[in-house]
Amino acid sequence: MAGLRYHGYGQPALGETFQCWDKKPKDSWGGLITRMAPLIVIFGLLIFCQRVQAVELTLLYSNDTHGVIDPCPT
Amino acid sequence: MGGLARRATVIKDLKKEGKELITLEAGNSLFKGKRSPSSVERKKARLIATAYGRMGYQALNVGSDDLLAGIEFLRELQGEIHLPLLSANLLGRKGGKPTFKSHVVFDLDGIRVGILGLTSDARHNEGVPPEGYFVSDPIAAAKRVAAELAKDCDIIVALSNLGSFKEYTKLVQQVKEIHFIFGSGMGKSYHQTIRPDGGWKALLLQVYSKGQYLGRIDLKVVKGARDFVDLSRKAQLEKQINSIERQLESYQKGTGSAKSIPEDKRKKYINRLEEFKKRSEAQLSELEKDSRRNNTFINTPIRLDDKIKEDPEIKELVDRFKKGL
Repeated sequence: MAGLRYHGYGQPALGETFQCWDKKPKDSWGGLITRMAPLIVIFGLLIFCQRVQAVELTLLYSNDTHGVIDPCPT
Repeated sequence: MGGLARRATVIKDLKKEGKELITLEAGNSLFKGKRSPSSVERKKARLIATAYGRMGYQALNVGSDDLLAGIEFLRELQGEIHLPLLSANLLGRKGGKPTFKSHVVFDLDGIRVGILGLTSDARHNEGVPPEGYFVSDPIAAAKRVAAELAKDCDIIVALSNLGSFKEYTKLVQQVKEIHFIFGSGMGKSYHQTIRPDGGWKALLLQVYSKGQYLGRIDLKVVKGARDFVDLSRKAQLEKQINSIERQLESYQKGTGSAKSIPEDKRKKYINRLEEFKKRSEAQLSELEKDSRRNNTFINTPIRLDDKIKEDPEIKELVDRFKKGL
């Protein structure tokens, strides 16, 4: 868990080994976000596309037919 | 103009195109008048209901004229031809229970459309409402049903028989969940936005009576968007701009009717036309911008004239009825 001591990028503290430093990007939040970035972008695009994708539908309506079944003279 | 057989052709053709359709009747389809209908008028009403069933109508509002033959007659029609009759405010005197369904919901490609029915409470017909029933305040009923529908519907449509523009304004003022009102009982055609002070709006649509037209409204719905932009005006604006451009060309070149106009006057006209063109283009661009973010609709009432062929199935029904008279 040594890597969790580091937040962001910087020089290793005096006396710490490079082995420990090498683990840092994997364990830190920064590293996690870097690795997840493509997934985040894909999900974002999916959500955006769903939001703007329009559904087309047609409503037909009639009113006041009043029992008329034949064409009326104009 | 009109006729059930032509209406059927239009509906069937649209279905063949594979459109996502909902077919609705706003009320007063069966009878007209102030008195109880004759036996021939009842037979004709039965024929209309059968034709509606075959055309695939999905909801019919009960208008006050539809009540002229009584509730039992409507119940019989509903039972025989499975007509979905709606009224949120036609209630039984005993216990105040609804006589028909108050609403139906359709799901089209994930878009939920709630349809509610309202009957006019104006008393102008003999025997309406029938004994044992009463018509409650339509606005109060709409408020209750629309609030319920708004919980899981994207679009709310009121099939309404309120019969006056003043009543519709009240309806929109008090029931802000409604997007579209398909009206009946006002005797003319409507394409009118009603926008109370609160900021929301609803569109009132109605076609001319006696089945001369069939209303058609094409919607593009974006999940989550509330407002609808009326694109019916887009084609009109484009036509207007084309016409201005033609006139401008004629004035600039001094051709056609502009030939005989003195140059100073021509310049004045050109300036006016250019201003008009700018205004129209700005309106068009605003409309296009709005339509990218919102839902849109185009309303095109279809004139059922003799260019439309009669559907043979419905025509045969009508002819058989006439022979039997």
